[in-house]
Amino acid sequence: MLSSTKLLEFASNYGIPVWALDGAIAIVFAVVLFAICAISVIINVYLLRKISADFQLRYGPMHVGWHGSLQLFADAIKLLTKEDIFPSNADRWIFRLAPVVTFVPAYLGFLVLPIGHGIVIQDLNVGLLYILAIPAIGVAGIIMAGFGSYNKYAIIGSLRSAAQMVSYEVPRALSIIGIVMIAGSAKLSSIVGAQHVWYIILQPIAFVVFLVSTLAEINSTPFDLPETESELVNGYYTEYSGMRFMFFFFAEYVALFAAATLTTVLFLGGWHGPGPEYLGPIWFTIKTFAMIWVIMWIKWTLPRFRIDQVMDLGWKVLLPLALINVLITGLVMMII
Amino acid sequence: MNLTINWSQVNWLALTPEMIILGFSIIVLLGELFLSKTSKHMLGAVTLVGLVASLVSLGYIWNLQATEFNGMFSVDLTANVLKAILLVTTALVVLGVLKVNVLMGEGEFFSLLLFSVLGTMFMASSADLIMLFIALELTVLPSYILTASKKTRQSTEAALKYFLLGMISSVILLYGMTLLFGLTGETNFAAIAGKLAGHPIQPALVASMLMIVVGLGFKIAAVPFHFWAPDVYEGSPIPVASYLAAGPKAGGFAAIIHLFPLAFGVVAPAWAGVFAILAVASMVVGNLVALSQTHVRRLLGYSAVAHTGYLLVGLAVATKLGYASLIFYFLVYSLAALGAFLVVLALAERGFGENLKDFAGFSRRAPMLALAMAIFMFSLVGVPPFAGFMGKLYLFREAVRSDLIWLAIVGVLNSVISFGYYVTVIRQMYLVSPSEGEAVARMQVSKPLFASIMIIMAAVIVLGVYPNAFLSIIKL
Amino acid sequence: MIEQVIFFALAAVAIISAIAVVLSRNLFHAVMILGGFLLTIAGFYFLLNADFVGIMQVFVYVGGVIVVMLFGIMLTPHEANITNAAKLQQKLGTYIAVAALIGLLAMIFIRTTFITSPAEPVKDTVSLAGKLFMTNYVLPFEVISVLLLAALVGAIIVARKEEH
Repeated sequence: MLSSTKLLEFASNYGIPVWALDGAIAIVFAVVLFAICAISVIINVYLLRKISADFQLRYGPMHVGWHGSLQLFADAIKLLTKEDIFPSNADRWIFRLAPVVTFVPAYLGFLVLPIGHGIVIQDLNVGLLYILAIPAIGVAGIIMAGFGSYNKYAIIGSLRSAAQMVSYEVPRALSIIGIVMIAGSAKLSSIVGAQHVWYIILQPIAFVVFLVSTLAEINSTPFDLPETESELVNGYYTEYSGMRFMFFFFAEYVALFAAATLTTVLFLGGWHGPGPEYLGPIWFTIKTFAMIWVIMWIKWTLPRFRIDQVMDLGWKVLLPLALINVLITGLVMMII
Repeated sequence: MNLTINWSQVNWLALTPEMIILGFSIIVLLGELFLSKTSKHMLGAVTLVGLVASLVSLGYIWNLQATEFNGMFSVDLTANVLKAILLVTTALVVLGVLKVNVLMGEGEFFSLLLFSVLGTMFMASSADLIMLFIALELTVLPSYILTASKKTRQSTEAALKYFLLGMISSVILLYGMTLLFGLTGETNFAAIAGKLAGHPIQPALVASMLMIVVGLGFKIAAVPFHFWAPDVYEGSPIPVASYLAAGPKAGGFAAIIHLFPLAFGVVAPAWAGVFAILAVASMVVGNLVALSQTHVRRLLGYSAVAHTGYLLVGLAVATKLGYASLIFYFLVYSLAALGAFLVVLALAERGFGENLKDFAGFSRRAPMLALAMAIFMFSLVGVPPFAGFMGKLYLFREAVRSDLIWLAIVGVLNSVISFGYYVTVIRQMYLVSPSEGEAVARMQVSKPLFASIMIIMAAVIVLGVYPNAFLSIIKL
Repeated sequence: MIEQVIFFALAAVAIISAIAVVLSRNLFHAVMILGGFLLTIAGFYFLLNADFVGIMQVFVYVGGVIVVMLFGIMLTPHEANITNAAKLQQKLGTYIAVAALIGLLAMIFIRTTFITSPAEPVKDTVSLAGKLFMTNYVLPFEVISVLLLAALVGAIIVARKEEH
């Protein structure tokens, strides 16, 4: 399925069965993806620290490496060498599995992202739905973390997080319907291919709804209720330390990165940009980091919502807006 | 694959009754949202108007035969008659509860009621397994909610039982449907019949038939799928119980009448036999258990199970005349049962209990209501000249004609047994005086409720004396 | 060949996890395993080239239903480990009944020839599903929307506090 014709020829010349080739390619892609995720997390965390410092008129990390650029590696080494602690009443299996269940879906989302023209690991017909559905599994991981920890802060945090994510999945998915209607496909590469005009211009309401619900999905401020430091210590991963904590940390930043890339693909024209086609990935990266910067800008500007405000916003504002957007898009398409 | 639908060729007339119900349910729901608290009582009247309008439009297409939406939806006389019965009984329920506290927002209550009616109407008209299943869910889902609306322990328990059993039976029904699809690759009843004709009977077809019997048997509360019925009739709010006693079963019977002779035509003797067994079981269990009941609504619940048994005789006969007499008896039964529930409602509205002993001296408290209750009881037993007698006469006559004499005998014997508990109600009302020191004062009844009961009483008498009034309409 | 291997692997996982759901004493564990089971069902859909249904299975069941079930468990008081009070006879009876049912169904299925679809796998399932919803299945599709509306109203009624 992944094999191009050249590779297939190569395989048949050397008597390698197709499934072995498929498997090998899958493993290579998995490793590459993981590396991309890891690099993006490192860059994101550094950016986050620096941008937040900038917003708060501080310097941020300065001591480890040039302008604190190696700070994260120091942190990682610290976390990896920490003791692995289980709370005494924890449900061990659930506690152990939770970080993995949270992390893996966040990471699997990249499978269908087209970075450039024809540069995509698996261009599914249902790519858009896939990328919406996969984070939904992560919700289960968050609840597992809360339940497994046997800690009231963790439970409240995970309940809030799950409520928030389930609620905002609805407007998020509905906001994209307009795009699917215009592009006439749920395949991400076709959606990008159809964006001669960026969809942020054709679908402004959808963009706002999508951006806000994406912020809620990735638990970013002003929707960071699941981990409100002032109320819940650290939310659903209060009890985690060391390696497992790092998984959650990782998942959070991978989710941020995934959200930015998805916004780029859907609204900012993906790989489109001036210059030859092979510059696509570069445009893509620039747009993605611009998007990350916007998310962080929001993060360090707005104060946190209350939980009832979060629910009201999701169900009473964003959901009707998304539906109206579908209606308007349909009407306009019918007239044109 | 045919991927087009010619909207201009859809005969929208066939769908008008459903459309009207849908429109009114939305109006009522919005009314709950936007009307002030004091003007919400209008919503009952709006619902009534909707039901009557739907009934009128149904009369307009009475003899229409049509299949619309690529074989999803079909209209014929059987469906129309059952829909009309449903609409009439629901309208009587709504009339009865106009001035009654329905224990929740009026808009919510009436819109859920209309949603359930809508589902039942679609069920009666479905000609496709997919449509049938969705319509069935639309019928039962509002019923679960309405049952739970009282929020007492009893009501919640009843709703939970209803919901769990309903879900399990839905799953079994769905399994049966998938088997049928696996055998034929079709979901349309007629197409299934076409694919099955002329082929040897596969064992999975019989399994599928049995599973669908289980699923729909739950819907009509046939033994052994009846466990929810007494609990729901006893535990749910009385207006809901009166609706459930009459209306939704119409959908189940319509679905059986449409599905089995067509899709399972090749195994007709098998399912007729199964229905005969279910008929006997329902009659015997329903009547025997009802004998020992003291709570009137529970008693009526078991009586409903027993009457499902009588109705199943019509399916066991499996002829056109059998179905027609089933439909007639269904009308007769649902009127009488509905009337009985409304009388219980009238009592409960004045703070009386719902046990048999609370009926003591009822004839002096409310002579007209007591008379009506007595007539309903006699009709349920099948005493001439009331409608129940004619209904049972037609049903058992069809059984005898189809060489099911034993079934007719079981039915008659059961009617005799049922006399035992129905007459207890009458005895309580007329012969037992209320306990010492309790003043026997005239009971006030709200006017719409009284009117509804009187209409039902008149109908029961008219249908008993002159059944042709109805039979000529359904062309028996 | 490889498809059959995947099918049997998925089937094995599905059966084992389904049994584990039933036998698990811990409600939370049971629901988690149920989530895994539903994922394997999605796997079956992918194997059948029904990628749209498969994704929807993940979206609706794992992302929605399972989460709501976990919510229900976490918001209601419960014993961590429910001790099953069933007697030995009851258990034995259940096992025999289940075994008999499985045996019966297996016998029936072995003797039945189901039809197989001669149709080629569809390339673009999403648009075909959309077209089918708007043509052949438009009426059930619309009735489902009414059903969902009723469910929404019902959820609010059942969940809200008593006013009286």
